Amino acid sequence: MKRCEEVVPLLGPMLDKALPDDDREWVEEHLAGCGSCRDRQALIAAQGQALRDLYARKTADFGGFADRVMAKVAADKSRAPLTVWGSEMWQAHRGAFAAAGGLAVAACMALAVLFVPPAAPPDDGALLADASGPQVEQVDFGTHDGAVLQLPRQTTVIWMSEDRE
Amino acid sequence: MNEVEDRTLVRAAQKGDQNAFRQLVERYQRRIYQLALGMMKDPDDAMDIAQETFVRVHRYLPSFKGDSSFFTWTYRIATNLCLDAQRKKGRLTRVDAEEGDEAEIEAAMDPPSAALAGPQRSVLNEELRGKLEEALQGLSENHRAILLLRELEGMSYEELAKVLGIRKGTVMSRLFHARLKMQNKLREYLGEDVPEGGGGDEEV
Repeated sequence: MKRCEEVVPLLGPMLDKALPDDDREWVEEHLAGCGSCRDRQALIAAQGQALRDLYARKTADFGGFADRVMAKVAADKSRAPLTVWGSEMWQAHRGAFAAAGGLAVAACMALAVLFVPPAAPPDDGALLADASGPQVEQVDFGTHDGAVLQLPRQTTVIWMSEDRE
Repeated sequence: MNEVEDRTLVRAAQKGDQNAFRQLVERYQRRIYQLALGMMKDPDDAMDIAQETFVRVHRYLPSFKGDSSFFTWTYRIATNLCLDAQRKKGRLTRVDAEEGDEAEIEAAMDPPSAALAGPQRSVLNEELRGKLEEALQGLSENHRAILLLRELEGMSYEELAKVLGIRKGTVMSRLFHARLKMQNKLREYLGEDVPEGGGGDEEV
């Protein structure tokens, strides 16, 4: 007979009818001879039932809900062109935008290198904004990776990647 | 819900039939709200999410190809809206790692709690109901989402994988850990000893 450790992770999937037939057979065989695993499975079932009972009691007033949705939908349609130029355009073409952004940054860097006269190098750990040439710094924005490009004359370009999921 | 009817209504709504879209809203409003309530806890937030879900559904309906059921697609939108809302509130503690956790599996070896199972709990009393809700809210959003979708909606593992954008193996692993954490949190609230490794904050 299989050990309980091997059976426990499959007790839930068995209740959920998500076990392949051959696995189900040996889990059933184990359950027939193991009261502890039968109790463990009963607990999973009881917990699920308790959640269903809990939420069955939670009611809300849906009077007017569909009307409110339809009104919002109508408002959403009327501002559709603006929306398309906003987040959806970004979502649909973010790859192209990212590439264009990269090119723009590269162009800025090239221009800065060509036209800004070099200054004396800082003699200490000068702040990024005081540095003479363009500098790129990789930055952790928490939910995003990004880069900050510091150009002369207090010009800063922030480049952020997509969400870190 | 009848998927054939859904498809008919979706096709009509895609052609601009607002009455068909309204029927879809009325068909799913309660269930989407329940999911949002479980995720957000606050009834007003849940109602806002439910409304926004249908606005997004309507907005993206022209691009809905029917590769998945309308029901699954709508739940995916709702779940993502809930997770976004949590992120904006700074409450998101998503779980990325899905590896098995030996300590938790060991915790599952502990004998089931008599306080949680058994015929005496077949009807929830008020105290346990409150504790159950606290335990649910104490889970990470990913664990809460999968537990609600499975236990309230009875979604299959394939549907869960589509709605949550994860693989079926991950569904199995995440659901196992979500159920186990819920049990351990309930044990904590009911003043029982939580087996070592089973009640910590480590997420899988």
